[in-house]
Amino acid sequence: MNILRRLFPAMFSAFHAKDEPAHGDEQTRTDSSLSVEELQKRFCHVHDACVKELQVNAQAVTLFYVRSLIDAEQLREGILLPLVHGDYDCASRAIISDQVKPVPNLEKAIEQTLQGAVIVFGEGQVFAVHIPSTISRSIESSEQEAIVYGPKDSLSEQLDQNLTMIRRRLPVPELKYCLFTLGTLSKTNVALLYIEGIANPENIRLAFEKTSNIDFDVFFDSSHVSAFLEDHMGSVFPQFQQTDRPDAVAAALASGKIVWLVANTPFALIAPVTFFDLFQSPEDYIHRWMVSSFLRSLRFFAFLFAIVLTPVYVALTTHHYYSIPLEVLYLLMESRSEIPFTPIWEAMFMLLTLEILKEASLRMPTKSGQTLGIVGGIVVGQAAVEANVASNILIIHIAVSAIASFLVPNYLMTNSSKLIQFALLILAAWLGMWGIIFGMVWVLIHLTGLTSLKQPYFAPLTPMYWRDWKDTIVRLPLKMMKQRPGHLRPVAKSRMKKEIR
Amino acid sequence: MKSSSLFAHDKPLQPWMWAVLVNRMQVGYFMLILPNVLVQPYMVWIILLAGCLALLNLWVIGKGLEASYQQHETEGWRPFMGSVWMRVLMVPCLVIMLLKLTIVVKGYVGIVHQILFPSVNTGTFIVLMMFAGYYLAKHGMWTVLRFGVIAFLMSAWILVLYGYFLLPPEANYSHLYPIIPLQWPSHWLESLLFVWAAFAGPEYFVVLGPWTGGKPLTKYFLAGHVVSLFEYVYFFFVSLLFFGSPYLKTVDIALIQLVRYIQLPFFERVEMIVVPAYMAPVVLVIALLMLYVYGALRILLKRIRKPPHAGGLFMVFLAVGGYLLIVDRWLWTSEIQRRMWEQLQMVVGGASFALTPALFLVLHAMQSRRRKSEKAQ
Amino acid sequence: MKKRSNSLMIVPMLLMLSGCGSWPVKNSIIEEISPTILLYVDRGADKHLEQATLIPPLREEKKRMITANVRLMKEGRIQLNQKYYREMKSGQLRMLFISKRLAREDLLPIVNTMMLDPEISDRLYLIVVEGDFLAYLNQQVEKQQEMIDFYLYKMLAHYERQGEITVTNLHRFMEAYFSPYADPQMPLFTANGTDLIYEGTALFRDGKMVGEITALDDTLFQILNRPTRFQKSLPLPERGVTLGSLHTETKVTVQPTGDVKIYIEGTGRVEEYQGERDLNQPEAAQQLTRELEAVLEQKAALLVKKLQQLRIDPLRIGERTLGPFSQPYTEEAWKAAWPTMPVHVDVHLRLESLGLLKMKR
Repeated sequence: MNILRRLFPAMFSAFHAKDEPAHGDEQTRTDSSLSVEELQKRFCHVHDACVKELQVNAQAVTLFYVRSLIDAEQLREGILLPLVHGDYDCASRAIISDQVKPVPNLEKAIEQTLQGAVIVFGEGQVFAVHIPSTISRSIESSEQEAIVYGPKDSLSEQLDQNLTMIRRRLPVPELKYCLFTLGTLSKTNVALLYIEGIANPENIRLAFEKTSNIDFDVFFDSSHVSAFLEDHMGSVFPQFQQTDRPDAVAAALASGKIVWLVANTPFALIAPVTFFDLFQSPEDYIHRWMVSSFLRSLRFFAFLFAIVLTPVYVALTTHHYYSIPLEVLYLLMESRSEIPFTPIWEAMFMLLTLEILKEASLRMPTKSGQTLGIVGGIVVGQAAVEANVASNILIIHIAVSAIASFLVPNYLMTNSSKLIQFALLILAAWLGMWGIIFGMVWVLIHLTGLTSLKQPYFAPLTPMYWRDWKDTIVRLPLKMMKQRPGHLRPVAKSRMKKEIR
Repeated sequence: MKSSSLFAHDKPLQPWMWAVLVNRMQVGYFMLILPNVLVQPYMVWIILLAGCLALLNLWVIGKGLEASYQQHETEGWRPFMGSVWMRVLMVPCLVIMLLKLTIVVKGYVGIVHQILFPSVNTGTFIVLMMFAGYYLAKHGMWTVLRFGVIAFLMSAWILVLYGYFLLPPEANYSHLYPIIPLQWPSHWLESLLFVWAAFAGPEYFVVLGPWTGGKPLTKYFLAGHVVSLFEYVYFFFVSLLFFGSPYLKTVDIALIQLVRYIQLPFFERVEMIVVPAYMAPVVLVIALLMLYVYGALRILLKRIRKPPHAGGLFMVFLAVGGYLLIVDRWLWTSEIQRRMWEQLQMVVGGASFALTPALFLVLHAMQSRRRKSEKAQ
Repeated sequence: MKKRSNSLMIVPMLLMLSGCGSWPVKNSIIEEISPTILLYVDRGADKHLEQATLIPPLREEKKRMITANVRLMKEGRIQLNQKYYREMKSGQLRMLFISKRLAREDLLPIVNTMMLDPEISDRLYLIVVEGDFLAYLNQQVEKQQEMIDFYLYKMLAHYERQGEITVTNLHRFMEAYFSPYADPQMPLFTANGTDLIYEGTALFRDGKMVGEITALDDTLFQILNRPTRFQKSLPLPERGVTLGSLHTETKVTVQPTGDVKIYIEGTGRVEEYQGERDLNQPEAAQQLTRELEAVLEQKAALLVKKLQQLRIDPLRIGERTLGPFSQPYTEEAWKAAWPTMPVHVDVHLRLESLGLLKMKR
């Protein structure tokens, strides 16, 4: 942390100014231009901006706030009642809250108001009391990464609440938390989390540098933030892991990764990630290790299957008829004999139909989504075969590859695989199996060159970290994973008690 | 990745990756045609003999690399990059590199053309593979070297496939008899030279010192070499067991012919996958040599002080691609010409591999002279 | 800089690809082509080759046969192709039927043509057929046996695994042809109007068919041909016995003196007995066993004698002379010595069961 302090003196001093509570001597340095009238002028035509005037011990105290941003209950209990019924000589003494901050000038006052503060004017003093409204949904279980066993809570849109969930899992002071406010319009709070003494300092430095260099107007989701943090714009692969599972976040932190929490979105960003990380599910650590090794390798197989199956069908039926066993060739020729399209158009047409169906059922309410799935899957597929638009073997291929693509726990990766599939399809129609493998070599070159937070994306594979293979394609017993993943180059390598501190 | 980081070497490569790289550089096109050149069962001793000689050679190269790149001592070649001798040396180096590139690319493309797509012009495959190579090279040397692992994994599984031919009824073990030469073998010197040339490839690593991170790598070099040696013997035995020496003589590319015989229950004629899978090592060699050619040209044209440039690499790509297309069109069109190129590579590749240790002597001499002149000053 | 070089890449890519003029790849979309799986070759008049195949293969359409009469093998393919509206492809060619007449001449040019075509697999089955194969095929097609070619392929594939009959393919034929100590063999079928009958094994010397082994001799040939073998049943009609579930182990050794020793050890049971002996008597059973051994020894010796007379070695006995450090016979020496080598056959039978019912006579 000391290194960081030296590197970013300005930033650190800014954090500390924000975090320090109101002191008496600071209140005196109030800008003369700051007044209720000025504030009202700036909040002209903002109808939920309220001004409340009170008499406290024969002194006039004025409160200014935006009604929709504050918690009415807290206003009454924490500010109005103590002020009216209290027996204090000074308004600032009456309000006991850790969220009292001095307001030096008008701009600060506006900023504080919009963050959910009540600005209190009285006795020549101006200060802000933060009582932001905490409208949020309750903690629910994750829909994106649902698991059968294991913790059921998931992150929500509330930054503080998310932090609580993570801190409860990692109650150590080394878990550092730095706040950035990004977006000239959205003023989104983005928190950078890492564990000092585990995460690699170079990664931390890079994360700070990249985050503080972000310049944009609005950030409504962590993906918007990741778009500014990523190393490679022109890649179909997600370079950040997005998750709303606090256990996954905590596990990532504990292995030496860096996490961004973005306010107003339940999805945390994790970096540096590798290609293989995106195939892991928290459930892998709940199953017996043999079972989860099997399931995890199945996922990789399914990913390859999903990408390659339909292109291979096109390659075989367009070029390599001689590679098909005679028995299968017989079936294929029978099913394709009446179809008016060449294999590539047939496959393109059916794949696009499937993608349309998938996209449509995603945006639909659950009930009608199900109906759509049935209508799409069964009726369209059956009708396409009966109308001789597509061969039934192709329908099987496409259906299997679509199902296989959902085995990948990362939804972004699933959708990336579709794009690769289409590219391979065209190559397959042109140059058969050679084309498919050419496309795959291209993808592999891309993956080898790809980085996430400047760390190799294909990490335990190339560069090779033998030790990390215990938890990559297979998942060996936890007792055997005595060390943190080597490709993250953690400061403290051992997970065991003795060596860590 | 920024264009100036083409030759960035801030991150050294792990030792094991060198073993993999040595292995993939050695098993190229020559491995595919090796069984047809050797044919007789007792020629396995020639593989082993050449393998041991190459092992010695690699040991010298590895030790030389260690000695010349001990970080505290010197910076290897770097101080001499601008000298006239170095620039003169680059001319034969360029010729050797282009020759190697021709053999690797054209040899592979020829197989694809012959087995998979007789109707497609070989130029198409050359162009596509050059693009893949350029795309890889554009990521910089560090990524190219890391791609060695991918190239290894994409092509090494084929070894397992050939296991099918180790068991009867496909394997006839009497084809291995007699395993010692009963009369003085003819062409033994030529075969030895051929196997020696087939083991060539790791000599290209002499200038990769900065990526070694100053670690001793000799044993990894040797490990990679032993794996290649095993592969050579394995492939030789497998094709001998299946064909027998008199038949093997007549078969064109025995290893591919072997794969064609395999019938999986869901997929027949596995050459459909095996031939494309050999693409990965070829792309690796293309990318590596493209960067080498670019580096050599920078020395030759006195551009070494300026940062490397993506545009420069692009020019190299265009030039090398054009050269390969010219070769494809006019200089390597018939089987006779193919044999001529193979002979040429056998001599030149073998010689360059054998002479590499001498380079270290030259380097050593240059370094000591430099030190002396520094002292004199 | 990076962006510029990226966009620059597209231009030469398109130029080169269009310049090479190779964008249109000749493809073979499966419903547009007609992959032949059977080809029949016969020697016609005037050194011509008569070829025939069934079309459409692998389709539930009305089948018919087309023929061509040409000088060259591939010329025939073109002519056959011109007679049919779908392009014929030979990538799925699985069976090459060769007429006995043609097989008696030099087969190598024909087999070599098949080898040279990268489309054709080395697993192409080779079969010699006697009689009017065309009539047989025509008759099958008339009888609505649409998939006769497919069924024939399945039969050969089955027996290749099971090993009841001789099955050989392009690779095995070539390997035996080139081997100095072996000679190729092929299955021999006879076609009459309605049936295709397995006759036995056709024997080749230097690519020419020189003889055949038929009937029960063929079963014995299969036993001799493989070091271990399971024979479902071996009838020996002259002794009224059928041996069943016969496991045989065959050891062939060539003595330094030049004597060939063939030792067959068989374990099986009597499945059928129509003789006069009471097999419940141990002596009678012993006697029968000795008799059966003698019969087998005699038959095997005759079989090998026949091979020696034909100057061929399909059993690869010559390979047994080789050792890791020795090669007592060169190719020429073996070819000269083999026809006159004394052969000793020794059969040892163990009958596990003498029959199901212990009948008393």
